Amino acid sequence: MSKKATTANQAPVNDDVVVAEKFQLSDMLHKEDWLSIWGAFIIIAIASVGVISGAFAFKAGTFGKWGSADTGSFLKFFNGSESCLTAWSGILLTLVALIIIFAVSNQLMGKNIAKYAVAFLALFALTCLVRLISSQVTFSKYLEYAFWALILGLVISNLLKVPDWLKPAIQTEFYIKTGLVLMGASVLFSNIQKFGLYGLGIAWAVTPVVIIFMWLLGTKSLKMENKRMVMTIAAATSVCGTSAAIATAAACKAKKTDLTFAVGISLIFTVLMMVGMPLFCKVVALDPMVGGAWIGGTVDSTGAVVLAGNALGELAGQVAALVKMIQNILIGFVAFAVAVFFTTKVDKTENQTVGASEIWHRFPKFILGFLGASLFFSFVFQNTIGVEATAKILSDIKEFQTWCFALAFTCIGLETNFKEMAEQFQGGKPFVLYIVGQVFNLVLTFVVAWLLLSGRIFPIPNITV
Amino acid sequence: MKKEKPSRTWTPMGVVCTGGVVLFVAAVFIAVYMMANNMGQVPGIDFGPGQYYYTDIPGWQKYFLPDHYDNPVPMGVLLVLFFAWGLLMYRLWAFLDRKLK
Repeated sequence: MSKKATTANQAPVNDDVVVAEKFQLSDMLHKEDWLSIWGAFIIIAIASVGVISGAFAFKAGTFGKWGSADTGSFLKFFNGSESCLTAWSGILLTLVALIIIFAVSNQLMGKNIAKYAVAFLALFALTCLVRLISSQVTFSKYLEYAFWALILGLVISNLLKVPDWLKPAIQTEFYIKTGLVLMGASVLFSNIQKFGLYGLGIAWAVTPVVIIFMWLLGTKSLKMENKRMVMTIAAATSVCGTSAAIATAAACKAKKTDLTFAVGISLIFTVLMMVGMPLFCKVVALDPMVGGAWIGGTVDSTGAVVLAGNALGELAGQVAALVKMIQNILIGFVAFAVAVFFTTKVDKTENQTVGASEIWHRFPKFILGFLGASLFFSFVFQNTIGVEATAKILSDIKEFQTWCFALAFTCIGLETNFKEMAEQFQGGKPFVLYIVGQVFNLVLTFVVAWLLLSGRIFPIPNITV
Repeated sequence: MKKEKPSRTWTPMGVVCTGGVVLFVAAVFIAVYMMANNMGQVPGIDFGPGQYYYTDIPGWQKYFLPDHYDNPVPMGVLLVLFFAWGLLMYRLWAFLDRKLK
């Protein structure tokens, strides 16, 4: 998503060259990738100290649900009630924490801190509106912040004009990278053993095959010139929807419109699959374990997986969650592989050999922060402070991650115009890519789930519910 | 002199892409209908596709923390298989990308 990559994407793929700047130690204090790592690590460190010492809770704020008889109307956040004070005090803490981290980072990057701070306040206010809208009971279940952030941003940028003073805060990549490093902490690699060989077989055997299939379909059969869009859609389909799309788009430096397409398509089809797949399983009287694994391996969003799995029964819900949990681990590794692939294969000139040092110069460094946080929480924190305390820290930093992504999606909306989106439409090829890829994913996952869990070949695992 | 409009020719790719667009538009309408009618909900579960990642789910610990399966395979074996398959697939990806035109 860098300026260089954006320009490269507009050129024919064979001329798609990114010239990397040589790495210097000072980059670690002045470059966006590194600053996103340090910013996220500071949030993780403060939250960890709070949980381990028990002295305080460093937790970002959010709006509670509203819009039903039980939850009341959104006016409860503006009437001085307890919900109002709880929500706004948490949001104020979030604002202070994020503005300090991002403004100082901007100063270190050589930008004007005062202009940034003013612009960030306005961007944060817009994101507050996004989060308030997405807290409505129905919206919160089905769509949440990514959709509403894009809609609000698109409306402002296409109907009104984005004022110049707001532009210093529009730093999509920076917010995404910071959110991803925070997310890395919750990618617990130790979860790989939760469903043993069965989970590994269903989640890990299928995922890379689907990615390769979709890559070849998009770049060779459909001849889509925008390889970054192919990659982002493939990751969203095969791994886990929005989260994987964000990570992969950042790893291959995709355009904002690529991410918008991938997230939009994924959200729409997730709703269909969440409703349709349990119904289909019931109609054909599919074994709940096979059905749960099938849902876990194919439905994009984790929330929809648990819901659709439980629609088939408690056992299916548990199996679906186990499979999805392993797929969640894959986000970091797929993003890493994609970054290496694009660095060494896609972004190089013909006949050019890319050596180890060149890979290092070009490699998106924030992925190291993502993997570092994941490995630290998986193998150090869980074993020293315990699973419960680790889970508490993850719960505390989770909302900061959501705010970072919500800021990023609002920025994407503000930076995108409909004309640019139409240019990326490519006659409907992205839709064909997603639909054919998802059908392949459904068939392959079903076959593997049936082979492993039907009891015809391998013993049926004993799952306690 | 009146210019003759070139007639639109349908290529197989054009037909496929149009089919994709039609399916997507249909999917949008069906999804909106499903959301408007609160379809797919399960009593006692207060979340859905809007919870993209597992920690987005309210009370995610309940679903993801307990051990529901007694795994007999050592972690080391799983790690070896994980990385071996990943490496194999990466090499296959690079190979096919290079060979196929």
